[in-house]
Amino acid sequence: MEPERFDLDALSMDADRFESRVRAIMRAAAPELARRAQRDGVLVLLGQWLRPALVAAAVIGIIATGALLQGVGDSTPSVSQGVAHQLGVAEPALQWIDEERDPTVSDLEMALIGDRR
Amino acid sequence: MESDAGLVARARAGDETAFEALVRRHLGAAHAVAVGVLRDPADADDVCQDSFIAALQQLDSLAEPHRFGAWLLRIVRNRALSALRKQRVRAAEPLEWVADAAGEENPGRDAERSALRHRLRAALDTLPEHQRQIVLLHDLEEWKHREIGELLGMPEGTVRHHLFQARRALRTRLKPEQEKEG
Repeated sequence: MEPERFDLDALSMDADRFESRVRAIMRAAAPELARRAQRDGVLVLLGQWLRPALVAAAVIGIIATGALLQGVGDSTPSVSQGVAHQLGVAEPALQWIDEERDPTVSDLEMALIGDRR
Repeated sequence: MESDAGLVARARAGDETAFEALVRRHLGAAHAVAVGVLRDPADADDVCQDSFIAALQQLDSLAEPHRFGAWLLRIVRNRALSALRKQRVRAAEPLEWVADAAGEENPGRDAERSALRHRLRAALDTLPEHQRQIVLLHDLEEWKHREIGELLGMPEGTVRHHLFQARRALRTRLKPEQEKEG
């Protein structure tokens, strides 16, 4: 249906001219290629340094968080103790308040009259 | 053969061999598009070179690296059209095909090829710009109808129609000369 393909090979660049055009383009492209190679070199270097640094930071963070949490449990007075002291609650009562358990009869006795005995 | 996407990835990182492979793969089509617009092979060379450099500079913005060829040819076409507008402003007379730059062609060695080239260019010159590009891309660079359609922003069927018209016009134009020679 379509008329036959046209032979336009005479219009194509001959090998010498093609090579000379490729060389000209590559000469013109050299500064940009060098810039890109340098940029990527810096990024790769940064990446090589950054990865272990980030891993180390994460490990330090995990250790520090663990230590902080442990320290909080060890040394910081509980909220209930602090409030109880402020309210003047007797020392024996603090134990079962802090342990968050129901007081026994002896606990109550100790808390109410213990100090006066 | 490494894909365009692979070559683009390496060229983005400044790999010279990858970029050269892209140039070698697409220079013919780029030249066909530029010459289709400008009709002057030397001007087409300049536009091709500028376009490859522009493409390299904008390579990071290429969203679909596997479509590097179509993207490059759009750059070539836009730059060729821009150069053509500037030429038309500079010179009011219509453009004609000009001989290749001195030293790039040896008529003594290949006089027959040179004469044929001249006739083909004269015949192509009679075609509208889009038909010239279609026939050059299809019959010289072996692009598919679909690819040409994507480049020129027209449906595949329209590309086929224009190719049909272009070939028929070229045959009509070249036939009397072939008969004269015969």
